[in-house]
Amino acid sequence: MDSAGLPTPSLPSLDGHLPPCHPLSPRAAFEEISALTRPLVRYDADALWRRETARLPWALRRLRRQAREFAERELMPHALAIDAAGHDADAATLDAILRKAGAAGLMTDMLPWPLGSMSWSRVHHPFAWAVSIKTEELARACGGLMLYLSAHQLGLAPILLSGDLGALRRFVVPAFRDIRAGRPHVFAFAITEPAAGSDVEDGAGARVYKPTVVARRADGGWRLSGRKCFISGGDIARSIVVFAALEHEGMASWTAFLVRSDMPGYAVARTELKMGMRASGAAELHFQDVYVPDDHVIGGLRKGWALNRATLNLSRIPVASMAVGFAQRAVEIATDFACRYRLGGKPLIHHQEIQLMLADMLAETAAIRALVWNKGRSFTPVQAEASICKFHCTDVAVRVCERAMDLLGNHGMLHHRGVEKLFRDARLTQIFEGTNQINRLAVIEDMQEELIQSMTRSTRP
Amino acid sequence: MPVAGAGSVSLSPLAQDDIALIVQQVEQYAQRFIAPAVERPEQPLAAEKLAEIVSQAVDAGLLGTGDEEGVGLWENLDGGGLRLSVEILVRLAAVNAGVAFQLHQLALGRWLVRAAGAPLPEGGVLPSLQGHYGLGRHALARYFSGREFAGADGAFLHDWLAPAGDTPIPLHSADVWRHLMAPRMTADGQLGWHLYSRADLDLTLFPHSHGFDELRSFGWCGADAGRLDCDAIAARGLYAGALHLNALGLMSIALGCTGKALALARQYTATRRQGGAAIARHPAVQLLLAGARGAVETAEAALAGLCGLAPAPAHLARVFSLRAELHLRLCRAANDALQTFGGTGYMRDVGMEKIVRDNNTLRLLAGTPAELHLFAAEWERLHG
Repeated sequence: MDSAGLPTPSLPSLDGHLPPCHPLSPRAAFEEISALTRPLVRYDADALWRRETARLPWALRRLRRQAREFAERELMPHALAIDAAGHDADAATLDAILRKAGAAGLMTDMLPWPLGSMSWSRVHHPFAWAVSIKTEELARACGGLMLYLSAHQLGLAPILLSGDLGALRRFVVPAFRDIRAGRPHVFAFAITEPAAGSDVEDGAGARVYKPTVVARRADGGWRLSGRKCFISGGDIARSIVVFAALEHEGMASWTAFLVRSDMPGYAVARTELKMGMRASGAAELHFQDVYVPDDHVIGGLRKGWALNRATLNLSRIPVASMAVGFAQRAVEIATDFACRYRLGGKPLIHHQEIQLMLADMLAETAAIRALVWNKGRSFTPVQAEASICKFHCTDVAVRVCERAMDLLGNHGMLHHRGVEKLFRDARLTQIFEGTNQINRLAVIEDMQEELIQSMTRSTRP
Repeated sequence: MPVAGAGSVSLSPLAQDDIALIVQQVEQYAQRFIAPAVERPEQPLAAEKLAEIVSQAVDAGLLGTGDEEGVGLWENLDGGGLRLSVEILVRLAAVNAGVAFQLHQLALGRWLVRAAGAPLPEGGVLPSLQGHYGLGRHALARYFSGREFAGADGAFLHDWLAPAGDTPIPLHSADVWRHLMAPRMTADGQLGWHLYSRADLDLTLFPHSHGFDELRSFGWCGADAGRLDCDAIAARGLYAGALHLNALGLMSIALGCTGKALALARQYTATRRQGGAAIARHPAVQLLLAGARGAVETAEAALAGLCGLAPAPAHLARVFSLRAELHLRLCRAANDALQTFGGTGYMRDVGMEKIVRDNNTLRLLAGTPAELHLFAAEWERLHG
């Protein structure tokens, strides 16, 4: 009997807590509530992941499970070795991963069957939500390999958003056919220029920026010259959607061109050595009078800026979901460490400060996932919401990774523990798809009508 | 050096002039010998080169060798050596944090051996002050305090400081050491010091650590060998002194490399343009830089204050509290400095991301902020 006169169960418990079956433990106590209302309060112990998955619509539930199963089987076992190898990563392993992802339908699920591999049951759900669910699971397994697969999706987005059915037929359908046949055909999205990162993602910056990748009119097509940098997947892409200004015009003339990697004058000049996400190359692409036929213009001349911004609106929520994946994995590693590492004769999890840290990490991860799932539920991505999602989730995820490193203490910096890699991978999400500073400004840019209306109200605050 | 004594160290004006002169020479040494070797941040320094730099540091008087007291790192502590060591480490870390950490470790190892009254062995001595995980929770604070130190605390610290095969103690160093000096506690709560020969240790290599690309990470464990003759009070004072100096060293290195990150960010933002203007003119960037500057200035002021405290158990809580706050702020500052570079900052050849990783490593070594706070909180509970 304990001090409250209740029987002391022999089942184990964590220090500072009653065993779950103790009469004063909430779930045990709920069993005593009237059978009429018991279903409203009682619940079974279950993992958070399974509980959250069960709340998803059927098609997304299935997607989440399939993505996790693939990521754990095909990506996670290679994550640390590929990260450590950097540029020396085994090309055959990377190629095999690409083929397996293609065979699993992960590289063609932007279109429904029979054009792509998306099941028709998923068509009823917003694209950003589905992509986010998949991306979180891939990122959880390995940030670099996730980007290795996801940059392809970003490359396809402007073509899909262009509404150009001819481009879809000419470029996407045959590429998907190749992928299904085990011949990976990767797309890439090329906007960043050496002198312009934020200027190509922000209207005010674009207004004054003088683009350096320029398309000059040629017989039956265009000749592209200039350099793009930090292009994710640019090193392996066979099709690159390149945004270029028309000669003697500014950013308003930006046009999307489909460039093939075998076109004369096109070259991958270098791939960067990065802090993290090392399995995916960030390439510098050179265009030296690359001839691009007229039918390789995507969505029409001078439609590039619109396609770029629409693509960013679509991609920023999935970027937030990458961050959720990193945070999720960080919590898992920290939890595993806390439960298995022994200090003073007992596992760390018994210590209150460890429990507090884990609870904070769980809360922050659950909150950012809820934000992603909430904002992803719109068929039309709203700039302000996508940007809020992107900068907030990525900032929080980096904090969660830092906290996980802290929980592992003097073991947190060791590569084989996995958590320091998560920090390095997560750090990129605060930078790409618009730095988090640019994303904050994108929120305000998008709310201008509302804010201007507030400015004109007659009453003083 | 009276490691267990309390009180402040006063510097004469002459000593301050000496410090300025020595610091100037250290800057010249760093620019001449270290900077050329680390100018490509994406290419880790070769082990032979680092050994050469250590040897040059000995020649330059930065690292003492014999029994004589000099003006190198962690020497002549009651004659202005604390302040001098902090200044030296800040300058070295501004060039390379890994090299600064290596020199700090070797100097602290030597200080430990000398303060223990043991003869200096041939070859470098590394200190290993932290147990296999964390910072000894409340037990370490009670041990230093002498209050409420119970049998369970002794048993806890015994486990914490006794590295076993499944709980090796992480260690970070290039191959420039031959001995390791570490505390161990008996099961009944008696602290002793051990000077291990490297050959007596069981070392596990941990490849690819988060920061300090110049160094290698090991896990060490070893038998109860090499015990030094040291009474309980002296052993305790020695431990407090070493933890104190180590904390100052880690803060100084973090300050030095964050200061460098800030300088690089200022340089970059003055020339990089966005929206038709240098990004240094945009409030979004200005706020990042201002935050980083605030962190650097806070750290400078805090370290200057700490240099007036002699290493002693009574001062550990204050040192640890400040360290917990400073590392958090300096890590944030380094991250913010990287952010001003955008995608460029993420690339290893620029050097910013390395500073972020090195700063993270400094935050995690010898007590994370939560562990440092826990020590300070328990000390405060015991002493009010």
